Amino acid sequence: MTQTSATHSPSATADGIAARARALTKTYGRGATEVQALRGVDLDLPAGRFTAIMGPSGSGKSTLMHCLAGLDTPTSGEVTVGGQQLERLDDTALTRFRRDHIGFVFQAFNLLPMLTAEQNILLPIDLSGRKLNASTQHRFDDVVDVLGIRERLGHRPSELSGGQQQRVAIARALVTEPDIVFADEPTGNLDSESSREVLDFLRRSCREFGQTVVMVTHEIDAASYADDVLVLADGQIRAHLERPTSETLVSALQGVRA
Amino acid sequence: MRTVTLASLRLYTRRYVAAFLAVAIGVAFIITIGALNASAKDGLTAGAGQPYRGSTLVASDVYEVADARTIVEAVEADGGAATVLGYAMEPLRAGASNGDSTIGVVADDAALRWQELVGGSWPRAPGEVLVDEQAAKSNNVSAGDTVQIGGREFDVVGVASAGEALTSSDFYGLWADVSTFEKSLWIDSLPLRGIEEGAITSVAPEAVVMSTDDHVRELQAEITRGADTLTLMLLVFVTVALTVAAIVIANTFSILFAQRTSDIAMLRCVGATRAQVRRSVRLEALAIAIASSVVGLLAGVGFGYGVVAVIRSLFPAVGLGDAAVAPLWFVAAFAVGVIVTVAAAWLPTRATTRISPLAAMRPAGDSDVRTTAGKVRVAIGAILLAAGAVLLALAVAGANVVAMLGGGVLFFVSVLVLGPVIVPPLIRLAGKVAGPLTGATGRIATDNAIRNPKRTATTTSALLVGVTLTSAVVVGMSSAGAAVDEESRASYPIDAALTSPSPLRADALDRVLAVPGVEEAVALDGVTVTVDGVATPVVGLPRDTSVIDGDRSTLPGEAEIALPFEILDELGWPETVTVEAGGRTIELRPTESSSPWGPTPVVDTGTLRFLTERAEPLALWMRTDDGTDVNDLVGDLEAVATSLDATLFSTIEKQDFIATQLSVMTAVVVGLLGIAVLIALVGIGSTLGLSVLERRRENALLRALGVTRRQLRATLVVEALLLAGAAAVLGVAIGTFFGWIGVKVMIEQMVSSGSVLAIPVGQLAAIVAIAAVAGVFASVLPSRKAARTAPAAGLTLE
Ligand SMILES: Nc1ncnc2c1ncn2[C@@H]1O[C@H](COP(=O)(O)OP(=O)(O)OP(=O)(O)O)[C@@H](O)[C@H]1O
Ligand SMILES: [Mg+2]
Repeated sequence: MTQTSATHSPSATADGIAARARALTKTYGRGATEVQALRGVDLDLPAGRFTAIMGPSGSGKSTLMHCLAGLDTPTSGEVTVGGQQLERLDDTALTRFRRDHIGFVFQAFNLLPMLTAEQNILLPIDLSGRKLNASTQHRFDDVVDVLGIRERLGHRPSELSGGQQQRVAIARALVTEPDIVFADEPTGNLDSESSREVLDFLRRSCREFGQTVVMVTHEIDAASYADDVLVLADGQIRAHLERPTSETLVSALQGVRA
Repeated sequence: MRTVTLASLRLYTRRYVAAFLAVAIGVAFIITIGALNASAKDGLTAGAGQPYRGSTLVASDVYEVADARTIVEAVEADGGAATVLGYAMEPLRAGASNGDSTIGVVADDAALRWQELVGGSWPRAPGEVLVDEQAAKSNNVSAGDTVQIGGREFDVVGVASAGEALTSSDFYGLWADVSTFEKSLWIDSLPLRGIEEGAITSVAPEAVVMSTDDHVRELQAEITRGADTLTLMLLVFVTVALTVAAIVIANTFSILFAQRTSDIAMLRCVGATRAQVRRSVRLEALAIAIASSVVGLLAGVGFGYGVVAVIRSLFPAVGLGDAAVAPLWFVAAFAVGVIVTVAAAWLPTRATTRISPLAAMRPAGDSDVRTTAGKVRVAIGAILLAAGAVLLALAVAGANVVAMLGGGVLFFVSVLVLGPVIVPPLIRLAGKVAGPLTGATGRIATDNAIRNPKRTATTTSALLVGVTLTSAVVVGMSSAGAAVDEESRASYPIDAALTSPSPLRADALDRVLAVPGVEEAVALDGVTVTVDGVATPVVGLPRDTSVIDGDRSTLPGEAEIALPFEILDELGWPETVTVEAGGRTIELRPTESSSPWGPTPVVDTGTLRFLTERAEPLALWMRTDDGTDVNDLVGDLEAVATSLDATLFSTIEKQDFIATQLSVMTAVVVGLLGIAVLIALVGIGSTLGLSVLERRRENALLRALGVTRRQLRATLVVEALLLAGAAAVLGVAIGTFFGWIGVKVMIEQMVSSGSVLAIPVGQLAAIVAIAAVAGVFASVLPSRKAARTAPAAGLTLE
């Protein structure tokens, strides 16, 4: 069991690293029902790259992502995002930090049912109490056009297809220009055509907007869109693959399942 | 299916808490009223017999003091004994304390004395009185003091307790003394002893004589009837509370079953028939009904006994007895609780059978369960509204109370039916108005509040019932108050007067004006005259009559004189009177009715100038401020009067009495309606709480996207405010409308001066404010629950 660091260059400074974890552990429950979801994870996610996290079910992918994104507090260890150490923040400050620096795309239930697509996309800006200025308006237009959802802006989620809903969610994640976007199985609910579109948009956001994207996925196809792939098993990082081919991915995954 | 019912009950107990509370409060309300009813009957009937202790016969329907005197004398001449129950209301002067007091009779015959001697001795001779224990305390009088009652001196020789008797007086004197207060003496009945029935009927044929036992039995029956009438009136409020409870229950059940759609569909998928599903949920409702009714019974017993104990210790004068709840009350309250619950749950449980097995296939947890107002609902609502409006119009036109009640009910039901159409736009409007203040939080709250119009409407309608009735009562009562005020201003054009047979001192006017609460005062010049031979001071009208606040039509004109009742009565209501002063005589016509201008006759300035050149101030008229404490004001004026050797004539207490009674009545009615409002608030809390459960995912998403705990709590507080506020504003609007109708139908017919609608803006604003604050309270628990949602919770498929 060799532990591989995700660090690209050992000399990477805080500005080159979008998110960093040190000795991260997460334990759920107590006593007989205790589950160690993360057992000492160290990782550095370089800025401007599209990273996929893979691993068997129950390996701790979602837990890792939640801890990195400040959605959940780790049992021990440190998380730094955009140069900010998350443990230092209280709940309110952490919430504001999420609002301004982190974007999310989930597998489902991404959108508020009573808001239109446009309102959903602008929600984080709305919540921060900021007015829509020229630069955010520009960003909004860019994102909406790239994602091709302009015609759907006035619709409510229940009037959108699953793929369209995910695109709206991606638009929302990108509109605030966050330091990092986390996506947990964003294509889990989609057919292969829609999956391809969504993954393509995530990669384009990386290329065209220089966005850092971290995606949890089960699908080899999905992971092949990524620049880096981290393989997780039993709450630990087992492998780090750079621009892997399908074959290298399959063998890496079979390695951890065995 | 029994396993399913039991498992559901176990799993969802907490979600039923609102339905549970609503039923329990309603049932407890009934039991409390039962306890009060029993305690009132017990206490009042027990005391009914006490004043007749020692007597064998009772003579009643004796109204004239002269008749009572005849009976007493006849009985005593025959070797029997008699006393009189009743009292005279006379002004009291005891040390520093002044005011009216009552004086009753203590029997000459020891066996007929029903009071208990607590200290000192019984009165033996005229001029000696007993003071009641309570009055002794409040007037600071004790045995050995001298007091002035009705202008006569009395020695207080002992202290008496009235025990449980229903009629107690402040003082008790011998019949020989009390019977001299002929004008103010009110006679209830005469307990007699040692005499035959026939002996009375021969001297006082009008009197009704019966055995003491029969008389007391009759009294008790009357008291019981009175208590039962009161109880029936209280049950009207129970009905209101239970109606609100039914709305809350129906709402809770329909939300719960909507949330369980996929569970129920799953049951259908695995082979449960419609009937099985329906039976299962109805059993669930029955179980809730029984459990909550039992809790209500227990709480009601505790509360009922508690209320009775509190009233007995705080207000012993009310005369409540032991609390008890008759078995019939338990049976009835339990049955009502169960029936209301099961009936309210009927429609929601029926709706569950419409859930198709297919529903299980749809994604779970999607809380987008929109309901909309159907065309049928709108049509029915419109028809009811039209019918109600027509009836209300007829009621106003014909002053018909029955049409008013019917129209009111129809109108209100139409508002409830149309709720899903009316309420959401109202909330959207409110949300928009408040938008700039509340930002994104407010927008989310507004959207949440109206996303399910039917649920929103039902939740608000529960509160709407209470607020509407309360506002209607407040508007009606304040209009009644205004009407009474106007009447009393007409019949009491001056609030108070100081009169004196000899000229008032020069500083009299200034001293009266210095009393806090006296707004204006004017001195009236006069002279002592004889009116048809009766000597009396008479005053002329002041030049400035702005002190008069009310009807001026009874002011004496040229060749007229305003005479008080006493003089008119003494003279035998003559057509004209001859007034003589210092040898000058003049014929004057008394003004139509007896004068409201005080005990001194009044003439116009011309007449006074004819009667004398040297008029001197003999009276002071004053107008007082309504806002001043009446007891303080009258006390102060009495003190000034005493120091000026003048007599105070005051209508302030009389004017205040009715106003006080009206406000007490308003307070009682509003308090009783408060129970319905309380239940409605439980309903708002429950809807919010259940919505929080439903929106767990959304709330988690909001938290992930950057909504702080505080903001999330705020969305629920704002949502509650919007729900409660909409109900309050709509309720106050409809209630004011109902109040206006009520005034048109019931009050305006009775007063001379057209419209008397008085809208108590302050009180109505207070209703809205209280509803809003209560709404915020109702949101405390749900908002805390919402704020506990972890941002990572429920973001993945389960
Ligand atoms: N709230 C929780 N309470 C208790 N245990 C939990 C909780 N959340 C996750 N776990 C446990 O932690 C471990 C890691 O869970 P996690 O959700 O991170 O896995 P995952 O890799 O995302 O799996 P999947 O691919 O199925 O989504 C699992 O064993 C899971 O049972
Ligand atoms: Mg997962």
